[in-house]
Formats: sequence, C-alpha cells, structure tokens
Amino acid sequence: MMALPMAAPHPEPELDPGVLERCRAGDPLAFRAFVVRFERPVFSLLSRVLGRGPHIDDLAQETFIKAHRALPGFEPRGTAKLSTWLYTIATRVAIDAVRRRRVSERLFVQSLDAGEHPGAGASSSESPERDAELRRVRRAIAGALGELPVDQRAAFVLYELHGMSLPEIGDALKIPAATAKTRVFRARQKLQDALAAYREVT
Amino acid sequence: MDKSKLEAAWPVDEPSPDFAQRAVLRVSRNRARRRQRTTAAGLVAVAMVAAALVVVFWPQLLSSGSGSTIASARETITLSRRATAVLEPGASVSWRGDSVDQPRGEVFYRVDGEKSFKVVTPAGTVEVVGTCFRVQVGSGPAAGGRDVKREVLSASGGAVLAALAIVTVYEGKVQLSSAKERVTLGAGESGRLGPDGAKKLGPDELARAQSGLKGDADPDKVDLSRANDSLAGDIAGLNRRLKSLEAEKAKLQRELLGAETELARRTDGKPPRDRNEFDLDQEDWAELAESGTIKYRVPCMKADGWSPPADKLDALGLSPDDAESIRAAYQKSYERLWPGIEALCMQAIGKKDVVQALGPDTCTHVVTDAERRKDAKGATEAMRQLAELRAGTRAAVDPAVAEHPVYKLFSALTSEMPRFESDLAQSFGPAEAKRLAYAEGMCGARSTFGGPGPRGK
Repeated sequence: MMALPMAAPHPEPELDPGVLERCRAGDPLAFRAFVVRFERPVFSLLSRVLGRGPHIDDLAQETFIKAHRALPGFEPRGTAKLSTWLYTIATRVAIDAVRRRRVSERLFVQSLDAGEHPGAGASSSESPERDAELRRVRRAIAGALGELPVDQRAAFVLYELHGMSLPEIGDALKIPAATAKTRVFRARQKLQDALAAYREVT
Repeated sequence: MDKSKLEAAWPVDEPSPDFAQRAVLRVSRNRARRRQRTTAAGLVAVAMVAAALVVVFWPQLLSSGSGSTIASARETITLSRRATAVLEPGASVSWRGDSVDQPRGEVFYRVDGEKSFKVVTPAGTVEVVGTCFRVQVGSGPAAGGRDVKREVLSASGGAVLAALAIVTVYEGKVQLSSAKERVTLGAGESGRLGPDGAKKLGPDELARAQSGLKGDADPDKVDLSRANDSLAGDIAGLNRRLKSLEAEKAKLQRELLGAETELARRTDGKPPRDRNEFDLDQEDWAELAESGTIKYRVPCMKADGWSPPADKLDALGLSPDDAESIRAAYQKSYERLWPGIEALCMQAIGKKDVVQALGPDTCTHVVTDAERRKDAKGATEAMRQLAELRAGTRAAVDPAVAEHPVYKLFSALTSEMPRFESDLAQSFGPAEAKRLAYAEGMCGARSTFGGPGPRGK
C-alpha cells in the first residue's frame, strides 16, 4: 500500500473570526457570508460524491441548515477547521440521502457519462482532442469510482480534493483512520487502473 | 493524476446566484417555525398541565356528590363543596350533598358558607351553618336512672348527638335544641344534650361528662384533651390547605385563560392577512424596523419590459390586448430602477461590462455585500432607518444615512411597487392593478435582507 500522509497542514482562518462569531450568535448577515464562502466547495463535494443533478441544490441547502443549527457548538479555537467541520456535515447528508434512497447511486455514473447528463458534456476546452480526452477521463472516473459504495467514494473525494486528513475523514465517516486510509487507497488504485486501461486503449 | 487534472475532468454543479439568499431565508423560516412550535407547544403544555391540575384538585375543593366511609384510622374527607370532616377511628359517615348521616363515632366538622348543612344521627338531625364543631355520639347514664331518649338538635353552627352527645365548638356558634330547651354555644364552649335537656358545660363538667361517655366507636378511647389538641392542629392544617388549594386553583384558571387567549391569538384568533406578504403597510414596516430588516418585491427588470405569454395572460384573466400595457409598465419600472442600481454597482465594482453582465438582481446583492464589508454598522443603520421611515416612526433619515449607498438602493427598491401599480392602474384601475402587481403569474423578484435585531442588542 502506498504511503498516505495522515494529516494535512492547517492554513490560515477560512472565515473572518468576527463574521464567524456573529454567525455562531445567529446573525443572518454573517450566516449569508458563511454560505457564500463555502457554497462552491459544498456543491463540489456533493456533486462528486453523489453525481450532478437538481438534488445537489436541495442537499446543499440541507447541509447549510444543519450547519446553522450546529454552528453555536462549533469551537473556533478547537482542532477542527471550519471547512472540515462543514464537509463532515455535507458528507453525512450525502451518505444519508443515499441510505434513505432520496438519491440513487446510479446518478453518479450517469452524471459523469459525458453527453448523457444535461451540461455534463459541456466543457470549455480549446480543441476536439481535449474534449475527447476529458470524456475518456470522465468515463474512467465513472467506471472506477461508480462501482464504489458512496462512503468509500466520499473518503476518496474528501482526501484527494478537499484536503481532509485521514483521521478527519475517519471522524466524518465514523470509521477508524486506518479504515479511511484503506478506502482512499483502494479508490485511488481503482482510478489509476482505470486510467491506465484507457491510456493503453488510446 | 494530480488534483488539478482530476478536478478539471470531474465536473461539478455550481450554486445558483440566489443560493445563499435562499439558505438564509430557509434558516430564518425554520427558526421562526421552531420558535412558533416551541411557543405553541409550551402554551399547549401549560394549558394541559393547568387543565390536569384543575381536574386533579377541583374534586378536592368541590368534593364528590356522595359517598360513605368507616374510618379505621383518623381520616380526613371532603363531604361537599364546603364541608370537611375528620373521622376518629371507628366513626362512620355517609353523605349526599349537604346532608351527612353519622350513625356512630366521633367526627369533627368544618363547614363554610351560609347555607344549612345537616348531620343526621340516630338521635336526630343537626343543622349547622358555617362553623367548626365536634360531635361525640355515645350513651351515658340517664338522669333519674333512665336511658337517654332520642333528641333532635338544631344548631346555628352545629352539632348533633343521639342518646348522649357532647358538643365542643371551635369557631362560630352552635345551637343545641332539645324538646325542653335550647342552648347556644359560642367558640370555646361545650355543651351536653341528654335526657335532661340541653345545657352548657363548664370545664370540670365537660371532663366529667366526657369521662362518663361510653363511646360506641372507640372502645379504647384515650385522653380526649390530647386528642383535642391534635385535632386543633389538623383544623389549622386543613384551613391552610384549603386556602392554598383555592389560591392554586385561581392561579391555574388564570394561566389556563391566558394560555387559551394566546393560543387563539396565534391561530384562529388572528384575522388572516388579506394582502400579499410583500405588500407592506406601516404596521408591517414597524415590525421589520424592530430588527432592521428590509423586504421588498420588485417587477422583473428588463430593458424592453416584460409581458406575460398567452397562457399566463389567460390564467390572469386578461386578454391578449392587455399585454402591451403590462409590458410598458415593466419597461417604465426598469427605467426607474436600473440607472440607480447600475451607478451603485459601478461604485462597488468599477467595471461597466461586469456590471452589465451581472444585471440588477446580482448587483443588488453585490452592492449590499460590498457596503456591509466596507461599513457594516453604516449599512445596518441605513436599513434600519429606512424601515423606520416606511413605518412612519421616523420623519426623515439622518443626512449621512441619506447618502449611504445601501439606503439609496433599498429606498428605490422598496418604493417601486406603488409606482408600478400606479402605471398599471392607468390601464386596469387601482384594484386590478394591485391584484396584477402581486399576482403569481407576473414576473417579479422578492428579497428579504435580514437585520441585526432590536436596537441596542
């Protein structure tokens, strides 16, 4: 198994401390600033764990509503980053949506299958070759990660694209850090194998 | 594959421009709903607890209508709405309303109120009105060696005895009546009713009479004076308890009434709003001003105006000929609003092409956000003073506020609907214009910018 670092470096504050404090006190203006700051990463996370579609807006709203309720309990001077804390909420919302069958896991594959989901095939590429390559990579991702259960895919997304450490992923998914590490590794391996296969074909 | 390549190849959904605003609105609505639910649940709980307590305690105050008991130990019972009896062991009573049958034993009675209260014994009937007294029913050596005959006692505060009765009065007055004579006893006095008639008893005579009394109820009769002391304590306790229950009942009834009133006010008691929630009057603004919130609806801002498609015209009850009047009203609205918003947006962004690309709705948020970042306090004050102005609680805004971009922006937006209505009214009349301005099928944008809460908090 390849080595995976267990902790990511801590960057500077992700939201102005004053805004965060007002947010925790229930100030709607501050909460709006909080949503604006994190809406894109939350959309990205949900889209990549569940696949794109109209359900993402609903689940992102649910994520922020839950965050609003839980914000007074968030400890700004604690060890958890605000983003990590929020991504944990979003991940649980996503997994819960699949478990409650509000969202089908098949959406993930469909939304990555270029051209089948509205807008999914659209890209701002400069050339047809680049478009073709993107489509191939998307198929590889869909093929590799679409077979994974949602929580394994979530572990991969959180680690590779949202900078969460393995212990943080463990906390988010309520699994040991070592299990999180295994899941990330397997997902990464699957993706690499799939991409290698495409490279061999092309 | 590195992160950037993976991100590029793995497309995601983007939040819509109004996502954050919708999230804030949903949170506000949820919070209001939770608060309302909590309040309503609290009120219901208070009402239920109050009702339950009234149900539990009320019988103790009012008593049951009828019943009977034989006391195996000292027992306190409520006989009617206004009488309480303390039965010594072995005493027996049965009651219906204000009439008690006491065939044997020793019973202390406490009777409140003006109406007559009867205690029927084997010796006769005692009528009492509002007092405390004790009746010991038994038998004793008759004067002249003959047995005591049945007597009927009538008391204006009451007591009874059969073959031989000793009555001790603690409060009020009691009248002992026999065939031969009547004796009135006051508080602290005792009397004897026997075959020789009714007579008052002094302390020594009382002790002798009690020692000669054969209690039917309690063969192991013990020291009466000690029992009397104990009974006096019970009376005081009972009085306190009655008063406390009455006070508790009155309090619960007040709470119940208050809870019911509040529930009615929050539900059916309140007249339903007959206007669109964005058609705001001074009262609405006064409520918004408390938290410094700005709320408005504006027609869609489109340079060439807007008119409903045929199906919407039909749904609105309009003819195709009406489309042009509506379009013109929308165009006028755009011409009134956009130049001001555009100028403010330019101040915030500085690039005309970007401002044009953003358009009125996004520019509104951009200006507000930019000003709040720059001067949160000033922006908040501008919103609050505008709401107060609309509420009629402020004659004019401060000169500095009048120049604030947030004030200029919201002042224009919150005054637009009456102007739009006025334009529509030229073709449709005022009532129809009002209906159309807020109708579902018409194109409009609604916004709420939450304030910081009450002043000074």
